[in-house]
Amino acid sequence: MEPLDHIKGLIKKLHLKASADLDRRVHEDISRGSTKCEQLKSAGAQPAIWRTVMKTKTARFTIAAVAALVVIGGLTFWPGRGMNGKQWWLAPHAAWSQEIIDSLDTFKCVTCRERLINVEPDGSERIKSWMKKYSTHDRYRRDWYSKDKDIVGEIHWCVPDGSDMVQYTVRFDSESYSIGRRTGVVDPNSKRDPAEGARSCVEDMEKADRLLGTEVIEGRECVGFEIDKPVGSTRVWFDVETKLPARTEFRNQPRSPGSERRITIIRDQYDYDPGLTPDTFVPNIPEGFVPYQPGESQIDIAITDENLTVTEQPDGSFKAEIAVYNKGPDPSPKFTVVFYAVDPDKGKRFLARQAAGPVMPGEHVLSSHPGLELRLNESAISVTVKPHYIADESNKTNNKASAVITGRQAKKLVEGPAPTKPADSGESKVPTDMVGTWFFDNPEGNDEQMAIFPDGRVVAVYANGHEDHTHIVDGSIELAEYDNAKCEMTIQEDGSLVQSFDLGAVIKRWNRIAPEPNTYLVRDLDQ
Amino acid sequence: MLEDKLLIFKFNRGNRDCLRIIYEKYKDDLVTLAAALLTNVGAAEDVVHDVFVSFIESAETFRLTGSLKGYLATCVANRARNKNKANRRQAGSGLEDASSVATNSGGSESGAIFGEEMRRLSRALGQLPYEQREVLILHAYSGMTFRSIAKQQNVSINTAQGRYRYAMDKLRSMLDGEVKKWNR
Repeated sequence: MEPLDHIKGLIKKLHLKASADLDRRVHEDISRGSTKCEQLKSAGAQPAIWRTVMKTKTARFTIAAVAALVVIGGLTFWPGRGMNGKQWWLAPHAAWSQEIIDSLDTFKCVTCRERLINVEPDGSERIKSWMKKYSTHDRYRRDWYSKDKDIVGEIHWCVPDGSDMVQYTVRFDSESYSIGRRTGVVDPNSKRDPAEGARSCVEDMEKADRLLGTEVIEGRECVGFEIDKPVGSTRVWFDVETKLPARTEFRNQPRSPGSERRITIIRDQYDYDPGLTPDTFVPNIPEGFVPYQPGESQIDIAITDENLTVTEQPDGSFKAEIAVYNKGPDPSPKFTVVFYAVDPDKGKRFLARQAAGPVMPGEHVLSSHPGLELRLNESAISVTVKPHYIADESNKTNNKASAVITGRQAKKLVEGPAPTKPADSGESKVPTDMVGTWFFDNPEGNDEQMAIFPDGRVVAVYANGHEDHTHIVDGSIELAEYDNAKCEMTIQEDGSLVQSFDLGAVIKRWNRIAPEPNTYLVRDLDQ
Repeated sequence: MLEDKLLIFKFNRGNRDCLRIIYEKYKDDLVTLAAALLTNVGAAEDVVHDVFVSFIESAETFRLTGSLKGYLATCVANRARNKNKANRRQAGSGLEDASSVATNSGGSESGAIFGEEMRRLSRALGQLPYEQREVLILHAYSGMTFRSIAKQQNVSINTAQGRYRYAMDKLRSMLDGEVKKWNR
């Protein structure tokens, strides 16, 4: 007889690929649904006047000729008058700027994409992150995306409430949300509204140093201007037809004072009155997300040795299961559970990590991980729970648990080397100028952020979502992410923080991005 | 799981690209599930197509309470059950006959696509009564609990578990019989 497990295994192996015909049918239906949706949206929108693109050869030739004159003449060019009606930008600034500024007032909503790009000293560029901005005259929304994914990581809604602005933040990594109020903020859009930004650009054009000529941007012919500023240059490209800003580039902004690294901020994909539905600006907190107010919420993620169970699997691997409790008065957002193998002689070795939670006050969740492979001499498994906002945990001494595995090397188990203990007293255990939030702009991989607290606690956050929680002890630090290699941390004359091995080899140079320790997300930290 | 939540979140807000991602992510599993239930690939693809058409139409109202994969699998199972009932009415015959007809018309096709090693299993599945096959596939392939399967079939958990046991026994017997026949 066929054994039941074998039959189950066969059933699990069943696999059919959807045919190309099904793919086509479904994708067509999705497109039809999308078109229908767009039509519904645009039915309520303002008539769009700016979609027609001027692409006459004559205009291009004239512009090219003017640009050539500028280059040949070596002038910092700002023409005093136009050559004909189509080349409005050649006319005096006052002749066309007010028309654009007035038209910006008529838009009810503007959206744009904003990308933050790291510019290395050698000129190479890397996109760090990007967001989509939605703005109306009195409120805005920002959707933050990770640099290489089309998945939104965080959404901010800022909406007026009387004379205050209320910001709702939904964080998808931790499945949490927060609500903050800024009292007496009467002009929330002063720096955030793309329309306001565009208006400011138009006004700036009077001081433009260079005419960049025309280029086709996003399928439309645009004319560009450049202004030199002490911290870099600003380029603005106007749609030739609509005279509206189509792209703005803020180049070579320093990452931090004195830093060799620069950033470029590019705003493009401007859409004026894109026909958004009203609920675009209505905060939408997904079901199951828990409230979490950074700096206010009190959580206490707690585990003990008794909560950890390790069982050997038939294939020789191990399964660890830990019950994680929230003993604090507030709900805990999602957190990370990290599993380590413990060698009594060599210390801890990273095995795996996974997300768990959220968990409500007084409740617990089970987090288990099968398939943990141990090496010879590794005789225990330890687990660390790492809330995203460790700084707000009311009790930070109950985040670790370990279990000795019966039958393996019977050496006396000692705590791994990573948990260097926090300061006993309230006095600062690190130099004052070391306290704060630091950023390592990793040219080869994930960017990193490190928060150093006055009591010596350190939280390192990696752009891949991993975190390390450790302490600076006598100027040294050990990060589990790097196999607990011991490194010296020293402040340099230029204010940077150098992480080096005992022999002096510099492995990282950290730049301060905030005076206070901040364990938020790794992203646009310059902003 | 989190990715699905994000996809649904964006889907609710009108982002149709998320639908494409969801479809690409689960299409093979759903087609396999439907084909295993109906033992007919063409009918299976029709079912999956219908599920996604309904899903598209629910863009603004859909709320995910459990796993997205489980939700879609339940939708496929419901539609496959309806389709099977319609087939039975059309054929005017019993369930076993309907399954047998489905197997005869589509069994060779699905067998060929599933691969040679699955041919025997595919044929044997087609000979199971639909209700038993459904419990078996939903539990063993989709990983659904007996409780949720029982709820879907509107029967008690004991009945669902009984159907599963009967299905397994029959399947084992049929597969064993085929092996012996081939070895003869």
